[in-house]
Amino acid sequence: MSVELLLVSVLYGLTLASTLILIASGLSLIFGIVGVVNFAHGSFCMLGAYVGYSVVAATGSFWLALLAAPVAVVVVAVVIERLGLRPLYRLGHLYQLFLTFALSLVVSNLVLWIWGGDNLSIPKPAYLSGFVMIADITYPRFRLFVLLFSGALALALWFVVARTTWGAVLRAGLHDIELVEAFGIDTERLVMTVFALAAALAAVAGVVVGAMRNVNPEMDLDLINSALLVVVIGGLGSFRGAVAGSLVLGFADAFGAQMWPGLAKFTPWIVMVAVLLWRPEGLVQDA
Amino acid sequence: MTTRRDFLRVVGTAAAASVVEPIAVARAQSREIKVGIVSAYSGVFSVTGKRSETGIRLAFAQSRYRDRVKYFIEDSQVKPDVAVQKAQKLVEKDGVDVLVGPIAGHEALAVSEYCKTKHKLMLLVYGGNVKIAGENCSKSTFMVGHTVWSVSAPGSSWIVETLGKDVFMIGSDYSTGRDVVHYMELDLKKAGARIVGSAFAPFPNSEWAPYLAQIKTAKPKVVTGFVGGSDLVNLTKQMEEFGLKRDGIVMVQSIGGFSDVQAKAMGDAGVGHYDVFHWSHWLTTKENQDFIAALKKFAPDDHADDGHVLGYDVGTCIVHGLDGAGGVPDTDRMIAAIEKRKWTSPRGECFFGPNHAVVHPLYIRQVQKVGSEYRTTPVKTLSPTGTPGDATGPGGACKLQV
Repeated sequence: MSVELLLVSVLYGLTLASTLILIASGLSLIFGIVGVVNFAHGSFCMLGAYVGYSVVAATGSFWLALLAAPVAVVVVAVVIERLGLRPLYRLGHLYQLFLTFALSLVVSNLVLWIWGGDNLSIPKPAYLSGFVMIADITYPRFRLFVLLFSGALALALWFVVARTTWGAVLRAGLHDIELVEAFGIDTERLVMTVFALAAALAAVAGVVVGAMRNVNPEMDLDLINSALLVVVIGGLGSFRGAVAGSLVLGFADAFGAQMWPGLAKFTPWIVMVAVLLWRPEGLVQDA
Repeated sequence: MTTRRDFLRVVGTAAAASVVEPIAVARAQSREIKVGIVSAYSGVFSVTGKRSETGIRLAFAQSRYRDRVKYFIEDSQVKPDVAVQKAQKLVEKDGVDVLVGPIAGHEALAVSEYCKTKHKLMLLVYGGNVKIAGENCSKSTFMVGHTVWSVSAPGSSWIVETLGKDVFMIGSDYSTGRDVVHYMELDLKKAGARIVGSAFAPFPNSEWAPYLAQIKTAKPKVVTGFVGGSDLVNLTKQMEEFGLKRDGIVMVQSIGGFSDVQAKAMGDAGVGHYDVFHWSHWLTTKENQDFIAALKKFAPDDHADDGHVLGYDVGTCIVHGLDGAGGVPDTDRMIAAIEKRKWTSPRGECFFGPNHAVVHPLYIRQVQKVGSEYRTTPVKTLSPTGTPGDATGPGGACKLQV
């Protein structure tokens, strides 16, 4: 592999990992705090992308889309959590899985109904279009922005989880939510906040991915697949695990397609199997 | 010796026949015509299914059968087993007179094989599996749209003559992508091309960076093959973002990948690239303009797309078959009429080859920006193309059977 190919693969792997962190960390935190594998998490990303598309189409502002999409998706997510999931927390995982799976189908059909099935693209600001030269290689300017922006958001999220009082409550909740409740903390509010935070991050990722790739009614499947792989590799319920899993998956995708082109489709799955054989609980176990 | 009784029997029978037969014919000519459509009505392909249905409905709305036609719609879910089940329901329970087949090649083949056993007339809007034009051809199946071969390989010579000899092949890693790359590679080599590299990406695939790095290293003039659906939007955008377009590398996508809608999603990244297809919204022929105007009136929210056009062609073929059968949905007479049909479609002049695969015009289209609009404009008309049904054909030799 040439130096150019190596550098492109490293940058691409990091960019992919940074967007995956935004999606998978929310999924992982929701699982950690209430034990729900939220199958509709990909739908939050997709909804964010479509709302972002509409905002840019109406206003021409990409930045406004980055603000409006999370607000809209958080409203939807909170309604789903309060009216749909909350009554099911005391029942088994299967009920929650069925509900979130059904919700993902509903959102998918809603999207088809509202926006149609054609591919759409979120226009990028002109100053983020084109490419830059880094050590003789060409790399898209927007992808560098995605890397920095998503990286900064992931760092902010880490700071909130690891260094604030709310983060301490959250981490305690990840260990034992009933114990947190015994301290008089409103855990229903905590769960709703985690749900809202996860949805907001997913929506931001949706806008970013929608500008980097395209927006279509099947993007939720692609994103939820990747996010599930990340949390399984990294360790369910762990923010640090989501970061580790995203990096592993990002680099597996980047280098897999280069080194074993015929196996590109299976590389992430092979990596997941290898990690599970080595550490069945995932790379990081916080809770 | 003829008795009085014999005489009365003969006269009575003749009199009854002369009264009953016209009544029966009149009844057949006025009874409803049941058109079954088994197509994609869920998921992302539902857009294509609905557009082709709109085209069929427009063709009937313009015909004298507009008040007699009754539609029976089923969702194939783009799954061969479901498509066959739904076709069985349409044929055996609903008793449809004619079936419009599913859009994907594998399900089209499965339903065609079923229709063969029932001798049920089926017309395909898409479903361009070459085997249906070859070893699995059927007397009762007509490929009205195209085959994956007819809208890919015949563009190869133009690519070499116009854009350059150094070609990188790229395909989505499933049957259509593999087949198209195989067919095109054969014809490109015959035309003198040098294949400098090839890659197959998983389908679906959103990220093309690793493949673009391979393409860049191979230094081709042209990237061609078949990349499906939204993947093509990503590939085109990323080709620009990674500087391949600046390096002068041009893409030629087969099977009309750069529709106007796709081109809009690609934005400026698509401008200058080409595809191979049999229709364009921007063909200036009277038939195309009339069709677009009629569709605008019939379905004001729709932007005319190839789904509409191919649905319309299927619809007019059914209408032609009914005309040839005296307005009666008689399978054999309809088949005989459709086999001989030569018509001016919005695509151009079309007719059926001996294997029941359409011979259609073929255009090289280029994505151009006109004002703020992205258009896939025809820039070169190639020779009309049909899929050979002999031993040299991509799907093997066709022996039409009932």
